[in-house]
Amino acid sequence: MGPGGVVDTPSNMRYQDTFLTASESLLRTKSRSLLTILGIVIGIAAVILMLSIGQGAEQYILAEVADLGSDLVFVEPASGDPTSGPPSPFIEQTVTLDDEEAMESSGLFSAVSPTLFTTLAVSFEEVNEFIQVQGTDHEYLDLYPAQMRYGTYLDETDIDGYNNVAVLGLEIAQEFFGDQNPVGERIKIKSQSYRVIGVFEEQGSRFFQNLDKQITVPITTMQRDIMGIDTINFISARVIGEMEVVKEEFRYLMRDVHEIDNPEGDPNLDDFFVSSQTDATETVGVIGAVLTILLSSIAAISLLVGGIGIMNIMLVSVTERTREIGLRKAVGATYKEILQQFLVESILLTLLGGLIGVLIGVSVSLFAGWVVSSFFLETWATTIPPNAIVMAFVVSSIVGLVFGIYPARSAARLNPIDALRYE
Amino acid sequence: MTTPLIQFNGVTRDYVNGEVVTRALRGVTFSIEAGEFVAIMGPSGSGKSTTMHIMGFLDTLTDGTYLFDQKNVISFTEDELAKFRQDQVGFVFQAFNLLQKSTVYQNIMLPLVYGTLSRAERHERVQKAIQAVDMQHRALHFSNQLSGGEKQRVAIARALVNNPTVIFADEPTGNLDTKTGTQILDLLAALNDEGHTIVMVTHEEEAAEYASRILRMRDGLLESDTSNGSRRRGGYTK
Repeated sequence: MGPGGVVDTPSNMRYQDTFLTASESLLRTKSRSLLTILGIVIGIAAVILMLSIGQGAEQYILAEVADLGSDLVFVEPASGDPTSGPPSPFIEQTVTLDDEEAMESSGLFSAVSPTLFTTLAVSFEEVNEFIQVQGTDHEYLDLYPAQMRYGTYLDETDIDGYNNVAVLGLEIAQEFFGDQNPVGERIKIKSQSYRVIGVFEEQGSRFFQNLDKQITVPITTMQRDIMGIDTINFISARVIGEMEVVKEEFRYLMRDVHEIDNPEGDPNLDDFFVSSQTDATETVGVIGAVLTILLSSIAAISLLVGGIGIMNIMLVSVTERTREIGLRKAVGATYKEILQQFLVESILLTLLGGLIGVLIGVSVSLFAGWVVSSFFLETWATTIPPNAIVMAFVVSSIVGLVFGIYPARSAARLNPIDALRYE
Repeated sequence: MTTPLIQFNGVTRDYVNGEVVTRALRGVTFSIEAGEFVAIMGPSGSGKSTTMHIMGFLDTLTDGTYLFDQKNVISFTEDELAKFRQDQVGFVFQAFNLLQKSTVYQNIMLPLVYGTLSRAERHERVQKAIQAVDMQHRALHFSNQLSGGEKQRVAIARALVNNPTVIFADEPTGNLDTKTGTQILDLLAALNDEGHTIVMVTHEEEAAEYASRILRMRDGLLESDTSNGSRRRGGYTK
C-alpha cells in the first residue's frame, strides 16, 4: 500500500513545523544524537585544523620565499629532476667552488656566494653548545644584506687566507658574551680556535633557519679545516638580466664545467639543479595542492564513516519509532511529510555535527597557531580558510541528505496499521 | 439524516501473504448515520478491526464499495487517504499511542502539525480539545507522567483536535481498569451527545452498551445489527 518512490506528493506541512518536529525528536534522545554526530564532528574539526595548518604553513613559506628576492637563483646538487619527487638525502655532492668561480667569471651574475653548513660543538670558556655553522664568502652580504652590531664581516683576505675568523649571530653573541662586545675574543669550533671579528644585528629567520643562532666562517676554512670536503651545499647568485634566459645559459655553462652531454636539456641527466623564487613558489603551490587533496581524501573517508554511522542510528530510530510513525500516518501525515521529517532530522544532525566540528576545528587551529607563533615561528599567521567553513556546512548537509534518504524512505513507506501494531 | 455518512456495500478485504490468502472481510454491508455511536463487536479474527481500519482510511478494500459522505473511497490514492485521515477522522487506540517525552499539549497538537491552520488557530483548537477532556491542569506534563485514564483522555483530545467527522476508538478501555474505563466511556458518550459520530471496536458487552447501536461480526461477516435503546451511562463494570 506504499506509494513506492512517489516523492512529488502534496505536503501541507510548513517548513518551520518540519524543523520543529525534527528538532523535538532529536532532543528527545539528546545523548544519542550527540554520540551519533561524533564522527562528523571529528571529521570536520580535523579537516578545518589540517587546512588551517596547511594554509598557514604555505603562507609562511611563501612569505619566506618572497623575502629572498626575485632576482636570486640557487644552484644545488641534484640527481635527476628534483621537482619530480621528494628531495633525497643521498644526493651525490657535485657542486664545488669551481662552479662558483665559473659563475663569477660568466658575466651572468652580479654577485655569487657559496654556502656550506653543518651543526657543530662550539664553546667559549665553560659554555658549550651545538650551533649551526655556515661557511660562505665575502659576497654573501651583497645577496643577503645585513647590518653589523659590532666589528666587521668577512673580507676577501679571510676567504683566500683560510683565516680562522668567525662572525656571530646576535643570540649566540649574547649567550656567550652577554652584552659585551666580543670582537677579538676567541671561541672554539670543533676544538679549533676562531677569532670573533664581528656580530650581526638581529636578523630573524630565513627559510626556517634562525640566523641569530648561527655562526659564519670563511667557506675555505669550513671546507678544509672543519669538514674536510671540497663540495658545498648550494650557491646563491643574483642574475643580471632576464631570469629564465640566465638560468638557461647557466645550465649550458654548468654542463660544460661538469662535462655532461645533454644537448636536449633533459633535467634528469644534470647533476645540478638551479631554482629561483618563482620555482620555489610553484613548488610550494604544488605541495599545498597535494596536501589539500590528501586532506580532502581523509576528510571524505571520515565523513563517509560518519555518514554510515548516522544512517545506522537513523535506521535504529525508525525501527524504535515505528509506532510513532504509524500514529503520525494515522493522524494524516503523508508519505512526503514523513520522508521530509526524517530527512530533516538527519540533515539537522549532520549540520549540528558540522557546526560543532567547525567550532572545535577553529578553536584548536587558533590555539595551535598561537602556540606556533609564540614558541616557534614568530611570523606565523593563523589562517582559518573561510571556504573550508562553508565547505564543512555544505558537505555535512550533503552527508545528512545522502545517508538520511534510506532510513527516511523506510519510515515513509511503513504501513500505518502494521506500524501502529508494532511491539 | 437522509444520506448516510458511511456506506459499506459488499465490502471484502483479502490479505495476500505469499500463497496464503486470508479473507478478513467476506462482503459486509451496513451504513452509519452522522451522530450515531456505533459499537462493533466480535471475537478476534471476526474482521471488526479491519472494518474500522477501512472506515478510517488506514486500509483499503479489495472489493465492494465504501462511500464516505457520498465519495467513493476505493478510488483514493495513498495521499488522498492521508488527507481524509487528517480532515475527517480521529483515532483512539487501546495502547494510547502517545509520544513519550512529549507534553500533553504537544501530543494533542500532533495532528495539526500536518494541517494548514495558523499558529493561533492551532493553539485555540488544542485548548478547546484539552478542555473537552478536562486535562487543562496537565497540559505541560509529559505523557509518561500520566495515569492510564489520563493518557486515554489525552488521546481522545488528540482525536478531537482536528474537528473530525468521525471518531474511531479501537478497544479504548482495553488497557484500563473498570473505574477509569467507565470514565472514558462516559466521556465518549458525552462527546456523542454533543454531536460527534463515534465508532468503537470492543469485545466487552458492557462497553458496547454505551453505544446507540451494536454491530456484531463473525468470520468476516456482519452477524447482527441491533439498536440499543437503553444506552448505559456510568456504572460500567467489567
